[in-house]
Amino acid sequence: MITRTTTIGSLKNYRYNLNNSMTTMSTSMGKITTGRNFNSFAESPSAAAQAFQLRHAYLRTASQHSANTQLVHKYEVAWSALDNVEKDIDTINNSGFFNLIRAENGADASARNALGQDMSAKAKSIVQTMNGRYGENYIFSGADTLNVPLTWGPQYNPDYVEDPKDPVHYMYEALPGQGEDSTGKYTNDINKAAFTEIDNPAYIKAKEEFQQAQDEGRNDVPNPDDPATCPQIPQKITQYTLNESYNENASYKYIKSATKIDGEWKGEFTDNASEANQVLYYRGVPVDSMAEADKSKLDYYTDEERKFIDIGLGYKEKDGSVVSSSVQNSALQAVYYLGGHGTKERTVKMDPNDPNSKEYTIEVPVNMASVMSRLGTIMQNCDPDDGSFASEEEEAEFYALAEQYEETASLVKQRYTELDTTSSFLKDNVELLEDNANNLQDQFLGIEDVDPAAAISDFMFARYAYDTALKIGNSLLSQSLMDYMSF
Amino acid sequence: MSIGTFGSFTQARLAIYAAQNGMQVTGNNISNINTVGYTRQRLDQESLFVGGADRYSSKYDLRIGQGVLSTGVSQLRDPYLDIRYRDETARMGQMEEKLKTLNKIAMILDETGKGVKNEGEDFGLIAADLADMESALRALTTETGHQEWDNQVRAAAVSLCAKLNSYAARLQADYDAKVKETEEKVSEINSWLTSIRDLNESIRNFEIHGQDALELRDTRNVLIDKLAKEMHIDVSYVFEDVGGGEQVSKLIIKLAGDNPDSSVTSDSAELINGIYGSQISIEQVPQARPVDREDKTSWPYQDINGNPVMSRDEAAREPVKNPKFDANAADGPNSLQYLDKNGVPTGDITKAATKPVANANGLLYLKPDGTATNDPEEAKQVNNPNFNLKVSELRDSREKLMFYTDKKVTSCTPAEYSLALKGDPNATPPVPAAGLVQESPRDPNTGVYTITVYQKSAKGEFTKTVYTKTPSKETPLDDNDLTGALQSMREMLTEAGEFTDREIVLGENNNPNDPYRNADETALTKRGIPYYQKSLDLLANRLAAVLNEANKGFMMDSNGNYIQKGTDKDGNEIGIPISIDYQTTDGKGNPITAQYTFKHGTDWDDPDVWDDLPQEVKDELAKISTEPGTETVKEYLKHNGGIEKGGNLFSNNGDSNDDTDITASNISVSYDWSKGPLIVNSFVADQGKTEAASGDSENILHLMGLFTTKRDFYPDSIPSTTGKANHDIMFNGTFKEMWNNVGFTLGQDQQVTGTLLETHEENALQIDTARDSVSAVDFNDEAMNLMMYSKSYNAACRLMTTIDSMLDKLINGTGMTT
Repeated sequence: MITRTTTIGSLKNYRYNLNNSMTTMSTSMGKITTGRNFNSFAESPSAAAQAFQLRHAYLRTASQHSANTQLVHKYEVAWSALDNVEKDIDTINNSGFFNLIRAENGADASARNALGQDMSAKAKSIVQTMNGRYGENYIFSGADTLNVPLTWGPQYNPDYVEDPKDPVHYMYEALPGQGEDSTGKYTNDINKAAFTEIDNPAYIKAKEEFQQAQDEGRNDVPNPDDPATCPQIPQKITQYTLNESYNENASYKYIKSATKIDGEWKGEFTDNASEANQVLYYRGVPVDSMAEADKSKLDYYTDEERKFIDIGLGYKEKDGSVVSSSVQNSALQAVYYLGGHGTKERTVKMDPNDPNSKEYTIEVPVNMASVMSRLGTIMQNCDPDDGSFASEEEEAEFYALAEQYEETASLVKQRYTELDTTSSFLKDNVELLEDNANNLQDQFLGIEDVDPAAAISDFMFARYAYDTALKIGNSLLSQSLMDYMSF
Repeated sequence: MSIGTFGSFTQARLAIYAAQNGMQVTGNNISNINTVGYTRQRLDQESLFVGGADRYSSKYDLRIGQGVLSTGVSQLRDPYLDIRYRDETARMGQMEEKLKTLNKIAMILDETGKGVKNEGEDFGLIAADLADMESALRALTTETGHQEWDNQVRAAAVSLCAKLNSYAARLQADYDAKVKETEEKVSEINSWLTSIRDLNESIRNFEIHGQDALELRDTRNVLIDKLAKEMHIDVSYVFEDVGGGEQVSKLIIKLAGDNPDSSVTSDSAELINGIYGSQISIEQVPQARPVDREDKTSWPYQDINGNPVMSRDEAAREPVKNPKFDANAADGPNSLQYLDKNGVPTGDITKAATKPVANANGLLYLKPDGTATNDPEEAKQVNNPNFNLKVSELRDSREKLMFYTDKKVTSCTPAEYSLALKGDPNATPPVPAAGLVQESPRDPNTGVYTITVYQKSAKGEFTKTVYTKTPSKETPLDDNDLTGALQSMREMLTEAGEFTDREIVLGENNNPNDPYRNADETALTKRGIPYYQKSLDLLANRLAAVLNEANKGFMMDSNGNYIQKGTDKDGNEIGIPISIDYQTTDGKGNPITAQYTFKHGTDWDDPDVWDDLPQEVKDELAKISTEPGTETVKEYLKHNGGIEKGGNLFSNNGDSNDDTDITASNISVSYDWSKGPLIVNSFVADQGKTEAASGDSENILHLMGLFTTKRDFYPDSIPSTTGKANHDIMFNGTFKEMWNNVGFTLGQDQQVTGTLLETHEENALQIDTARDSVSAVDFNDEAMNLMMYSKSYNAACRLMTTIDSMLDKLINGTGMTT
């Protein structure tokens, strides 16, 4: 049977279809006016989710780009500073190196005073350069960016003890709570502290047995150095080691003008800080210090301290710590770029051609600013008339420092090149991040943005359909048999 | 048989009447073409035939019909299409209501195309804030120690908190509006039920008086169609004996039995039974008092020692008792003391469902004046949190309760008949006559009573007819009894997806007093407003917890040892590792004192890590603990010189630093952070010092990394679900991905619902069109009828004129000669 089509049924169907037609047109219109393929998650959940992910990646990349760009600028300033330092150290004219060559040359000996002044000035100059800032942050202060990295301060006497009669002060690095008594308890009292009995036959035997077991891969023999497992054997307690280098100079707090020659400090000491020799400090630690605690701190700064920045290398953490290869270290340590820290023993023969000539073994600083500063002092100590050195020791020290100057200058150049390489990498990474951001933008716009031609043709079609539907409606409502009846 | 002289006039008159009636019906159809629910009517006509044989009739007599009779007006309707339409419209109503609510949620949570329209950059709002906060932290790593950069992170956090607060408030407003809408919908449905019941009564009365009341039926059908959209119903018609051999049709409307659990019977509850109708309502329960951590009387449960506890997991449990238990009942369900998890009475306590024991000394409810009480009767009555519905007992318009009648006829002995008639004078004591119709007293528990009628037939047989009258009862509905818009409203108000209380899913807690008494195995996949509220809470809570945790700690040296302040030999402040002495034995069992240094890199509050501590260290910590059993390494560090740094970045209130129970609606930048920089740049002290290097950004980088780290999100980690929802990972990803997932889940639900709605809508339209093809008025049809009845009328009039002319000839012209 043919379905009976009724006026009401037709109207209901028409209403539904007209509404659909209008909705389609409205959706098409929305796409054109917003320029977006979808305006809600509901229209395309996976595309919307994907677009948001890409947009977030884009924002992150943009932020990394910003951080990277800032870092590039910091490195540019750092590079410029090191370039100046490098010029002060190692150019043909008007550099420390130039001064040194001239001062070494006997013919120019009379100019040693003036050259010394210039050398001292250059030492101060490179320190000032290295104390430069980018924005509000010190460039070369490692992770301590708010504080000036390099300062000049009095040279402390490393052997100084407040009260030389107190036996505690005979100990080296006897920090509170670090000693042990014979029962394994901690103590500060020297009288209670256990001492190394390395000559005790029982200890020697136990040590040999332990070592043999270790060599054979066995763990059944207790370690005599471990009081926990071997309390009955006289222990080797490493925490307390007698400070054999104690001497009378230890009563002075500062060094006025002294050098460690042949293992002994020679020169003047003082208790007056203003009279003390001025040496370089890095973040509060004397750069040329021979003290283990200071050296350890400076070692940490130069080798281990990091200030990581996320520049899009795939930031990752493992066991609560950041994976260093996934970030960029931005901590630049002035002490490192100036050749390092600490001292080095150098042996100098006063006349290299004379096998019987006197030799001096001298502790000279390693850091370039310290070397230049000390050279400047020695050169200024020379006789203003003939330029002769104030003493044979100072002359020896001069040559030792000259040797060190060349070594450190080479190191500074090498580190300058390192910085240059990192700087280039950072610039390349900026470009990479730009590319990434552009790609990401292309991707999410590709998902979100409408194809104008398709959108317009869709809209045109939807509009035709709607217009036609309206015309049909007009006919549907006007025509029926009623209109043709006549009586 | 022959016709009388004026019989032919009658024939013509009947034809005129029929044509007039036909015209009237057609006019009525045309008039009502726009009346909603109107069913086209048709004039029923019959050819008039006067039957019977004349005594002396001749076989040559012709029997000619004597005209037409209009016997009635009937409707054209297909009941099968009505059923199909109502089935479809219920599903359509469910999807329509669901989509409506989801669209409202999407207006709040869907950030597609939203955000700063800067060069077409539609980065969302919360999405952009999360990205901003991460970017600001990244910038802070290069500008560590400068307050303005810390402020930028805070500004992003403030914006994020404000949006989370706003979204939560808007979702709550939507929820409140939906509650109101549901209450109004229930009220509207009740008015329809009342109208249908009253219409039934009117139609019944008309039918008894021989009228069809077609217009009333149309009105009733419209109401039934409306009702069907709200709840899937089963509509049937039966004949009702009204006495005197008369029968009238009776309408019965029941729920359509949609509950997938076959053991449930409430899904077929009767809504209308003839002149009796029910009402639906939302169960009312005493208003629960919010849990206050500081006030144990508000804690809802108690443990096995009778001490108040907040968590259901810590609570003691007791078997669920059968509320109908009767100690005097010999057998049957009422003799069993407990209910199992399916709500079936059982006498075996081991099979009984259990429920947490309520805090006996608690004040767990709120009175209308807002004060606390432990008396549920005194408490303010509010909607059941699960919006459980119930169908009332059936009553007529005079509030008379309906009784279902069960009739049983048996034979009886003459003695029984006689006894009923006369009583038994010989009995000791004598039994008085009860009459031939006896009515039993009502059972006080069930309300059931019987009417017994003794009868003696003409043949002398004795019968006893027992009518058992069972009263109609209120029916509490199960969670899944309904299909339709009303069910959608309930689900949008209650369903929390993965956040669902596991006892709802498992049905472990079949407590008649518990709002979630019925198990709903599919609850984990149904997501209404609560799901989105809790998702937002989860995001806010985790974000706050993770960042707060990362911004608090103790200073350590570069080797990871926690440090305290000390002095070196020159009197300068230095950091010294914190350690604890403990007694142990060497390899040979000799007692020695060892030292344990606490190192960073592990979370000591994590039970697994705590277990790794040497027992002697734990014993030592226990010795010095103020509250043994609760000691932690953090506590030890706190009281033994540990240098604490940082604080909560987020709190539950901008005026405090309290980080408990953080949700999307209360997350705020903490008071301390709002006053000034609080982000800890690093917990690693500078060499030999107790403070970090000024530009060290190790912890800032870690905080930034927290935005890129994928983590597990558990539904039970927000205040409202702790100890209740499953501890299963519901999502793994970053904060941003979690937020994205909320939008994705919502969008997908909208899309699926939209597609289903479209399907049901088209189906309903098709069925409605088919229904219209039977029942609707069509202009062409009616125009044909107009012409047809007009011509019939003309013809009948012409017939009368012709007969008149013929009679005129017969009377005045016959026998006349000129």
